[in-house]
Amino acid sequence: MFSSFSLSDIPGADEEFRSRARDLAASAVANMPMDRRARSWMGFDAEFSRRLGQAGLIGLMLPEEYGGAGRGPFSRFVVVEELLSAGAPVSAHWIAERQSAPLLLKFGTETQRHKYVPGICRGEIFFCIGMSEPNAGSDLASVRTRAEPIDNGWLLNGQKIWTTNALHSDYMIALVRTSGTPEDRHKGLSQLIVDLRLPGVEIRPIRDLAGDEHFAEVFFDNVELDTSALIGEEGKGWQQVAAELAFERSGPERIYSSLVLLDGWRQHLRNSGRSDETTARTLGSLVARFSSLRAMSLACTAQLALGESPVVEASMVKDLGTAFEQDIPRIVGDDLASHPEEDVDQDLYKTLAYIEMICPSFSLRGGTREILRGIIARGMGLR
Amino acid sequence: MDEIGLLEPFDRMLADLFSSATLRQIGRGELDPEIWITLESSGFLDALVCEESGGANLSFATVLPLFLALGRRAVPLPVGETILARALLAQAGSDYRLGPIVLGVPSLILPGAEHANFVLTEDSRGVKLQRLDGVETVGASRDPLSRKEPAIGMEEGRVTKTAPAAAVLYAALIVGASEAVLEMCVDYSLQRTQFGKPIARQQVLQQNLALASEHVVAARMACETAVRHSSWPSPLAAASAKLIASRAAPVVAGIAHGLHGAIGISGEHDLNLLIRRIHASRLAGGAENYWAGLIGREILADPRSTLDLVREEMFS
Repeated sequence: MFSSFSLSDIPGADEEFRSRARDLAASAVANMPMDRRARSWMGFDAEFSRRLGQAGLIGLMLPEEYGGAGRGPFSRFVVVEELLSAGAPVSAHWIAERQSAPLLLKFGTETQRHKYVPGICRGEIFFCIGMSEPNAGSDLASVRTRAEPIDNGWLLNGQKIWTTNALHSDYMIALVRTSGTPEDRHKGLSQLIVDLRLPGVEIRPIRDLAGDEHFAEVFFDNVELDTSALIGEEGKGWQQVAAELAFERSGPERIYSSLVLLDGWRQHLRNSGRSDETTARTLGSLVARFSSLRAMSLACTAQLALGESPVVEASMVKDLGTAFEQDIPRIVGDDLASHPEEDVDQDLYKTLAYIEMICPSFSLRGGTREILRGIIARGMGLR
Repeated sequence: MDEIGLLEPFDRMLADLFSSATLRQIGRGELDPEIWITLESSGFLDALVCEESGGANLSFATVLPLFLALGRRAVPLPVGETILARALLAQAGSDYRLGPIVLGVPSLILPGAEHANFVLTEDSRGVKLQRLDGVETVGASRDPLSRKEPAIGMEEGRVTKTAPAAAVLYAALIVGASEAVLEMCVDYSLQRTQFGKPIARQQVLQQNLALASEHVVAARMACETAVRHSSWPSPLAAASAKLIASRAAPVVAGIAHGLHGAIGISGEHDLNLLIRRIHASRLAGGAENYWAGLIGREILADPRSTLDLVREEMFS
């Protein structure tokens, strides 16, 4: 079962990106408290994204013709694991690079590609993804936001919610209904590029449970879009979104979200001079799990490098990987709280408290556990 | 020989030798001596022995698929153990063609010892063989308790070659058997109808099987990691493989039995032939905490980041 899914080495030429990514990440986090580093994915820093772009570390998988590096997924793997394990603030360019640019390259017009992709690779154009709506979460086909065809374009009305980075992005790629009714489900959906500075767009940030404002509600009130807003074919939005989510779910990045906390806890163990067997076992088990997940991620990356779309395998990495990310705060919390005699650094405690509260989102973003396991079950021939 | 060219005849041989009926006979303590003669003459037992000593000189990575196949076929004889023991004996310049051998690593049980002639032990002077006489067998699995042989692990501050190799073998046996169990589960759930539809249509069942398969894939990756970068598994990577596979074992067993219902408990059903091997391989050669402790003691004082540590110690 899944026998073509097999471990692979990182080619030497791709390893060469590691030191550049590591140096940039180190400079970005040098004066950052641990709990801010723990935000990595949600850390928005346009300046850092621009520096990455200048260093040629964005768009590693994208063609040179459009400003990318024209390399394979292994170089992206190397850069991603360096940035995320250091806790560098990658959120600004993350979605544009990982999802929007590949989507535009696959389905967009030549004009759209040249208009957006080079800026994405420079770390200058930021995208958000308008999928969820108040009544369309996992059931994405029930979106109600509507774009009516008008002369020379579209008239957009409706609402998106939980849109990550909407407040700081230049554009949204929105999944909207362009014909039919919500009862038509997958039929009649399209993807449109919405310039978020247009009249009629209103963005209201939503404060999350940690006090951050990374996601938002976005309202469209008679927003006029010209014909060039449409990506791909009218009515084919559902198929395109499925391809886009495959870009998201096939990434290797679903195992690193709590590494900053894990490394902070290891530092605490060294400071406290721990050498007991219980601590050794707790640590050893986490490190073994991380190692096996990294092997799975590399296997996934190898499939991407062969031009495959390892949606099932990537779902396995993500389901197991986010469980690991979520176990870290539970296990570290148990350990620290069971050693009340030790001094715990405020920074470490704040990081634990943050990850503990935010980590349920790790298995929500980009598809819930239940959705992922459904994909795996289909891969096993159960549905 | 490439992996496919090696695996296919090996697996065909196992399929011929170890039918369900034969596995049950062996479970009752009746072993047809012809089985070992066939294994012996196949040459596969010398897979890891160097050429100068008359072996096939294959790499550990090339032999891993054979270990997985032994797991899938629920083979209860110490075939993998003998392959490893022969490699170690040949390296030491000792005679190695001596019938079934088990590995004398620190262990609750030594699977297959009731059918073995020798136990291989390792100490600071190297490996040696001891005759196994009158091994006690215990429990439903008939796997003998480890006797108090001078079984040396890594606790004494010294890395042996036997223990990490045995760990990878047992991990691979768990993975192979688990893969076969997953296939049985898929087949059965598509066939078995309840509430007017195949039980495979139940979402909870789909989700459980997806989870079990994730654990099995993770364990296989950990095995592949342990054999990829060096000619013999390193202690940390081997520890990781045995830990992750042992962790998968109860997940797979629990979900597979839940799905099969009462028929899986019946002795006549083949599920138990595989599940028995999964449990035995988990309990052999140290389980989760044993290996977690080894990794933890190695790295507690290590100042490297977790990423660097794992990259440098397990992936290179």
